[in-house]
Amino acid sequence: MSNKTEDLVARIESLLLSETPDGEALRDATASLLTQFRRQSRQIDRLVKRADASEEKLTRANNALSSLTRNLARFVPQTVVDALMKSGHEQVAGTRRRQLTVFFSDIVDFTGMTEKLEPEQLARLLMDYFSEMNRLCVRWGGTLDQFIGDAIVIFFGAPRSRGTHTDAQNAVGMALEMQDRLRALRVKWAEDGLSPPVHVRMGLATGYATVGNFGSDSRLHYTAIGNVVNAAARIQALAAADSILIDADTYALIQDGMSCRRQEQVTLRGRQHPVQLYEVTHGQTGRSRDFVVGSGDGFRLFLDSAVLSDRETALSLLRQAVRQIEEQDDPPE
Amino acid sequence: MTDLNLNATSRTPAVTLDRARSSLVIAGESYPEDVTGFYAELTAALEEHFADAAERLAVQIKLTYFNSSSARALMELLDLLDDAAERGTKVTVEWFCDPDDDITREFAEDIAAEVDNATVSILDLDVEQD
Repeated sequence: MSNKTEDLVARIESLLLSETPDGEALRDATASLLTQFRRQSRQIDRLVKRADASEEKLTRANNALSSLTRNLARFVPQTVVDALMKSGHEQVAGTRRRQLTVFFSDIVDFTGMTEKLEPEQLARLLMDYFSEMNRLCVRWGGTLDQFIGDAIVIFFGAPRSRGTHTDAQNAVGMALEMQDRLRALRVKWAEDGLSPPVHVRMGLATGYATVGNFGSDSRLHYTAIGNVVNAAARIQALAAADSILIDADTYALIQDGMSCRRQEQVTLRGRQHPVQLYEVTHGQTGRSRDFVVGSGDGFRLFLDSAVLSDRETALSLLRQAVRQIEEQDDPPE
Repeated sequence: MTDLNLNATSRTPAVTLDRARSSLVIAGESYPEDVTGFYAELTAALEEHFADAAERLAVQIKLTYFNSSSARALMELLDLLDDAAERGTKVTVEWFCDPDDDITREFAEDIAAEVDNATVSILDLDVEQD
């Protein structure tokens, strides 16, 4: 109640409690209170109307912001968008020294592919390839630094680190799942008539880098700079097709959960001393494989459960296939 | 005659009551921590002005943002001005609204429609200037 209303209520109460109430004064005070009541009712109506309009405007602004955020993640790494949303500019502002596990991948003989494929086919294949690799990068919590032609650079450990062990394990886990995924994609691309098959080399290195926003005031790129990035690129160049090579620092962080094969020591370009490399042969990706691929005389199977949308149709077709196979195994007498 | 001169802060508007010129200007943003206290000072100064049998008062409201509590205080202020106009003071109110802020304009128009004695005009606020 406003002061005016409180005063009027107190006045009316006082008049009512009086042994000889002044009728005229009581009427005047009540009339004033009613006037005050009508004013306040109107005020409340206007405030509610204004609040509703503001709420609607806020909802529209929130929706626009959500849409902007979704689109932003197509241009800026999801981890950077998340960091910006969570704590504003500060967490990704400036540069800092961080321990990172850097992933570098390259398509084998990409130049040869560009000569054998039509530009439209190449564009479709690259779109498929980058989309799938980016999807896995986001799922494993990596920061997609950049696409350089057909190469992909991803780092783990900034802007958010889950701890150096987990960062390295996630980086290698992602690389393993990418190679798994590529095996499935090769079948799909072959079905679509896209050849030659895509084979990818992957290299990972762990070490300190300067990470943050580099560029000009108006255009910044959240990236990592340091020897570890160069090392990952050079290790990748030494990897065989479809394999994952890692340096000793990465190996030290992941060896408990993954099988690796020791390679011969090599001297990386720009380094004075030889380094020990390891090939990752098997890992615990923490996820079941989400596709089934196989073919033989009379059958060809490609199941990609990660992108499966029409589950009922898929199940119906598979049941029909199983029934037919079983009937063949056990022919009617 | 006591004038009122309140400088704008990050949460309160500038308030200038010039009694010699019979003008009141409220400009800026309004979301004070103590809305009642902030507007009570203005209300008291206006009541003093009207108690001196003021002939007229020209009011300009140039608020770029105000919260719900301030909206209520503004409605109380308009009621006070309308009452003064009813008692014989010539009160004109120019309410400047951001042309892109349809919510504030509609709010001002609603209030203006229910003011019986004072004259209220809704105008476009030049956001660049103010």
